[in-house]
Amino acid sequence: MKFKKYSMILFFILFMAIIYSLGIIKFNNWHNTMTKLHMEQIEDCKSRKEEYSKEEEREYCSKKLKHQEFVISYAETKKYYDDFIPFSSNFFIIFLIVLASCYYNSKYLKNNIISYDLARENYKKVKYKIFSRAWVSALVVPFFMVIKLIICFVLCFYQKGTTDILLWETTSTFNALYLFVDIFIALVDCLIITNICIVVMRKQHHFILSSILSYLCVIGIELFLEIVIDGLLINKIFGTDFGLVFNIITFGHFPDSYGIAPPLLVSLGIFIVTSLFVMRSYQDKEQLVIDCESNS
Amino acid sequence: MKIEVKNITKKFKENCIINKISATFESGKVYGLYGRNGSGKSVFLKMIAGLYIPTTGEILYDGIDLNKEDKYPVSLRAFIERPSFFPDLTGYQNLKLLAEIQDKIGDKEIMDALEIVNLIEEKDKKFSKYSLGMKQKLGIAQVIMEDPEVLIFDEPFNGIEKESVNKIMEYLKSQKKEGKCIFISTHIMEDLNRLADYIYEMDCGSLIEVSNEKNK
Repeated sequence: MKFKKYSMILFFILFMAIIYSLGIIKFNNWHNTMTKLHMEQIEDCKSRKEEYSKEEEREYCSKKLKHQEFVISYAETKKYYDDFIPFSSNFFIIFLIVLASCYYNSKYLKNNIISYDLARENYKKVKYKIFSRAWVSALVVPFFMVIKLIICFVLCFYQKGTTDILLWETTSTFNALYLFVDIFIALVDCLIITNICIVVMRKQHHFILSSILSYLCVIGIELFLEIVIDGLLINKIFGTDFGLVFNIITFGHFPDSYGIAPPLLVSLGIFIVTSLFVMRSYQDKEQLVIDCESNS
Repeated sequence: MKIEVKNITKKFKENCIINKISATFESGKVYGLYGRNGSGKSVFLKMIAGLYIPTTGEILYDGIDLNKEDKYPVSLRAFIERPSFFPDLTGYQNLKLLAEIQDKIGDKEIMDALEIVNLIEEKDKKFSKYSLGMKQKLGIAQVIMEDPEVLIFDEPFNGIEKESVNKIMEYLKSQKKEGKCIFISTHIMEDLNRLADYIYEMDCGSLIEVSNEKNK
């Protein structure tokens, strides 16, 4: 029965697993091609060493001969692997989050199951069940971001045969704290998206319509943040691009030009505001029952 | 269980649906409600079931006003208006899903309920494939499966064949003897005469008692 409840979330997880696997295959093919090319270049350098007369050519060859294996850093591995994952555009992933959030709850509300549930538990519990069923779908993206880190670690280890890759690639903008905040912001952003779905589903119980409306609301809020808050207010009035941090859909690569705290605080702020909307829209038990009855 | 309805009214915007009703309902009795469409029967039963909240007045369950404390009548089950289930789940799966909430009963009780309403053979059919009568039977089954103290039915026998109606009625009579408090609203006076100890007529939001001497 739990399978039925979370079938769309399971589909989402399966989809992510497939595109991540395809990403590994593509990355591996690319890595093999690059390794082959690298080896050919080394052979070329070795055989034609004497023929190179220009300084740049000699420097190029000495570099090549110094690194006999084709090795890329952890940060580069992550960057390339990201590029090789198909269908990983955030606009598409947001749509999957919306579908997973709306699927069971819209059916639950549309078919007025709530009237039977309210005889078996109090409204507070019923309400939080609706919320938590949507919030579960917000965990998928951060979960796969952790998986991605592990995959990149394994890919890096596979090519270099050592576990010190994380240490030698630590920079000010790419370190363990950055990765943790990146995942945390992704979680908060996904929760904002699911909160928007919960608010939309309060009135619209049809699965397709509630999904489309929720998606449009997310994009609408993002456009408002980008055009009004960033473009018109912060950029025009204060002449700074600080408004870039007002963003809810760039999870996986948050804008860090002003450090970690501003995007984190902005995301948390938007999450609190959307949570207040969620609480407010589900405050009236009777009105929800009436709406479910009239929509069923 | 004793349910006391104290001077309740229910208004939707400016429309007064229930108008100053006071009554007491006790265990071991069947209360029948009849009245024309829009007389307020369903709204009244929904208030008893805790789905709607009275605009004024209070409903006490063993002396406690549950609406004030966001509690719910633990041993009350209701089937009001249309049967509401997941269309892509089978009848059995729908009941199982509801039973899992309190987790008080197992497969046996679910099967027993399906047996009482004559739905055992169709239990593995999807709800969307059910006829009106089958849907009604499933609605009744979700009320009786957990053996509640208070049972509320709103037009329960719509579309159900006579044989099954008789079986369900016999079951409800036996439940009455076991001390259950049962509410039934129907258009069919004959059904109420067979079952109810007290018959009330709902008219323009008011409750008028019409005694049923035969069953008292």
